[in-house]
Amino acid sequence: MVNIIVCIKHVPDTETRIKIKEDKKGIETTGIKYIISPYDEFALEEAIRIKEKHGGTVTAITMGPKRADDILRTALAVGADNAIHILSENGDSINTVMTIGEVIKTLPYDIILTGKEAVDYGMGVFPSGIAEYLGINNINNVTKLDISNRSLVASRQVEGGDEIVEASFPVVISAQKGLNTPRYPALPNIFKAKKREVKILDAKSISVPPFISGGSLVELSLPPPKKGAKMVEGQTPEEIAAKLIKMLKEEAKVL
Amino acid sequence: MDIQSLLVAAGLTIALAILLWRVIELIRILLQGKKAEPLNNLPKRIYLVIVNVFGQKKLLKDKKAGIMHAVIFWGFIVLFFDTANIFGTALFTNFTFPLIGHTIFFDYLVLLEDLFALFVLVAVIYAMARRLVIKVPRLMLSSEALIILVMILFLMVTILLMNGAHIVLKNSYVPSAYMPVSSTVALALTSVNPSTLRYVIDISLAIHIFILLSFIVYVPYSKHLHIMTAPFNVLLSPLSPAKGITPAIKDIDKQETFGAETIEDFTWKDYLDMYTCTECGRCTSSCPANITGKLLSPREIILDLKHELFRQSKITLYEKKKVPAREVVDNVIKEEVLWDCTTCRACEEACPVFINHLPKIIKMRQNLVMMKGKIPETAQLALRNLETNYNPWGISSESREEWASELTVNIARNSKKFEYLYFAGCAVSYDERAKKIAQSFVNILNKAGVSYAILGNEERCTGDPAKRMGNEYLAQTLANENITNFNKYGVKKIITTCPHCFNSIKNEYPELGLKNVEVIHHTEFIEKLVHDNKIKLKKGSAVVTYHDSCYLARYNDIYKEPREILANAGFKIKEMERNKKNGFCCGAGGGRMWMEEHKGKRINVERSEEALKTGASVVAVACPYCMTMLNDGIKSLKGDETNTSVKDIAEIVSEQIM
Repeated sequence: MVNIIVCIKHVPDTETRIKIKEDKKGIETTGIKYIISPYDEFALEEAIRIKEKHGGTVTAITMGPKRADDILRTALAVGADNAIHILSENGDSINTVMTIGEVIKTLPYDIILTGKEAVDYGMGVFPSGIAEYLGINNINNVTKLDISNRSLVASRQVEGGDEIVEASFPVVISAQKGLNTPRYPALPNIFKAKKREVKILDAKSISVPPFISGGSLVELSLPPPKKGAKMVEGQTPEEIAAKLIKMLKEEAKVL
Repeated sequence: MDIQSLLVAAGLTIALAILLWRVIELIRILLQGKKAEPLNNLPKRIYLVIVNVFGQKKLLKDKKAGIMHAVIFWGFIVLFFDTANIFGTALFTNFTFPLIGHTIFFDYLVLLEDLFALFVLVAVIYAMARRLVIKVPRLMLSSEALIILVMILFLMVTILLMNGAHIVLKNSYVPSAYMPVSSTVALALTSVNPSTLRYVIDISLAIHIFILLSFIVYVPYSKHLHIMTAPFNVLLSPLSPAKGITPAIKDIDKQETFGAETIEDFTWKDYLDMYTCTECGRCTSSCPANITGKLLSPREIILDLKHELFRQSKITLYEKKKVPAREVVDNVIKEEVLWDCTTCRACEEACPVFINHLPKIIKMRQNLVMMKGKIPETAQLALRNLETNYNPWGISSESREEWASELTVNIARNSKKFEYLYFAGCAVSYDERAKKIAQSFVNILNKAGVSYAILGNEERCTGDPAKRMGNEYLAQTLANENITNFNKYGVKKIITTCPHCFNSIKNEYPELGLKNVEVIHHTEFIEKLVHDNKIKLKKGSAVVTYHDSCYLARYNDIYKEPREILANAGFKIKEMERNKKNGFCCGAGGGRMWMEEHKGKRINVERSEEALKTGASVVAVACPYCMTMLNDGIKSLKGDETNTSVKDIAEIVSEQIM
């Protein structure tokens, strides 16, 4: 029996055409289609697989505005037992770590699974932050996970290869692409999940230690639009190669 | 009554009792099936029976087999009178047919019987040769087929022997001129002495009656059951069979189970289809997946389900311990087989007894996808893309209208009134190559001064791929959003450049509540513009071949318009071997566009080879999926530098417009 907690985040779909608000401190949210952050989805799938194989419970937690309820319903549809929604409009990473950390402290847990980062702001603070806050083990960027008696062996991606790491419970695991292929939820489960209970907590009512945030948002801006590829033309391969070298030196300044 | 009459009477009673028992059993099984589509339009149904059962229309598409079968079938009807006469004479003294009696009509009937006895004999020998000597690939060499053929052979031989002997013995009151075949047999028997001839008659009669009785018992237990069920299957078939693939699931969000998991989840009509399959193999031999080496065989799907039906119904009807029906997928039919289908309808088109293979495949897919979440990975990605961005490519729904950004195109939300809605669809909105189809088509619309608009970013996938991949729920969600938008803008006429969109909106949306909307495919629309002189075309001279899209051709009977446009533009059309109703799929339908194709030859390559064989310089298409598939196919065969181009009818017209 393994008690698993999955932390998931509601993020704009990766295909969303992001529009920045006039104050440059946020994005326009109207018309955005939200999804469960893809790395969190790997974490959720892994949690369900562990439960199916070893028994136990899966509790899905998200922190975010009302609309984030969607992904908790998805979690319940694919097999989570409980869902907790911490209502909050605040996106600060440290605050999120501590608030979710306080909630997790009230629950039994052996494994905490989450994505290696959320695909909206891509800070990647949460996995190690939560492990630090709870004072437990942490393995990040995991692509393979084997559970045995009260411990696990994880394979994690490192530059140029894999690192095999062993850890005892409790442990925070952050999921990398390749860990699994998330399942397609069955329709009756989606219908049932709509009627299941989601425990709602207000972030403001959860007291966290005082902290100074690591930084503050100055301004958001969009990346410059992509330019089309430039074709190097010429009569002979030698001529083309010479032109390419010249362009790399003078235009791209990489040589 | 003498002993012989008693024996015949007893035999006939037993045979008919067994037949009746079996018929009741078959009806009991049918009654266990789920509800099927309601039956409507009886006159049309009767017409179909007349043409396809009595006229043998679909069978005659395969000339040799068709003529053979038609002769046996008509022979059956004609010789039924002979059978009635034989039993009548055996059971009653001085038997004559009511009404006809010994009039000249009886003589004509005898003439017909005499001729058909020979025709059927020849046909049966040919049928045996097809199985044993010629070995036609689509035929399975089954003992059932041979048993029946031998039976019919003996029935014909005995008839001719009896009649021949009767002529020699001058027993026959019908002038021998009305029995030309039997008279020829009689010539051969003239030297035989009368007592031997009487002996021949008795033995022949005994054999004949014995075979007839066996026939009555054997038919309903063998594949020849089709003799009894085919007329009903034709009569009760859905009138626009696969146009909508499967009927919409009503109140879908109130359902708890979806699709077919066990044999018990199929409808009574599905069961009747299974009863009716005669294993002829026309379906499988026209299936693009099967032809290119995939596992799918439409015939095996029907036969496997049929065996499962009889296996399970034995338990439900007769056994005390009711073992629940097992899952069909993987116990009866491999999961992979179901994903091989391109929903091209070649199988249904080929089936002479109107079996609908597709709804069964789709119902099994529905169960896999909606109940179990089982679906090939790439197809799952397409479904997720449909959920988040309303198109299977997964590109932002906010960039749907970008194809039109540099053109003069009205977008519904910005324009006041428009006559036609051009429903572009996902393919021409997102696929770089296919965008040119939409751009060419609006050029034509602009040149012809048509009042139109597009939905732009408000447009959603019609749901066609989701429905065919088994996610009816997603399909309905998408369809409902489109219907809401159609109503919002008061749309009354819709033009599509994609046959899949066309088929969905035309044949599937009405079930979901779309009313009084005319749906037009762009080939129909352009043909009318040309015909009404709204646009004038320069005369081209190239040799063109036209590839029929399944969803345009087999599904919606549009063959003429695209060809007329090409002819009008001066092109010479060189047809591929398989065309129109017998056209060969490009491989992309039924969600196959988003699935891998590893096994066997690629379907698009098979079709591209056929297109190249015509020597045409342009392969004309009328579907963006076909465009992608044939482009890829031709490039893989000829390389990027090929001078054979694939063009949509809209592109061709846009180039030729004056």
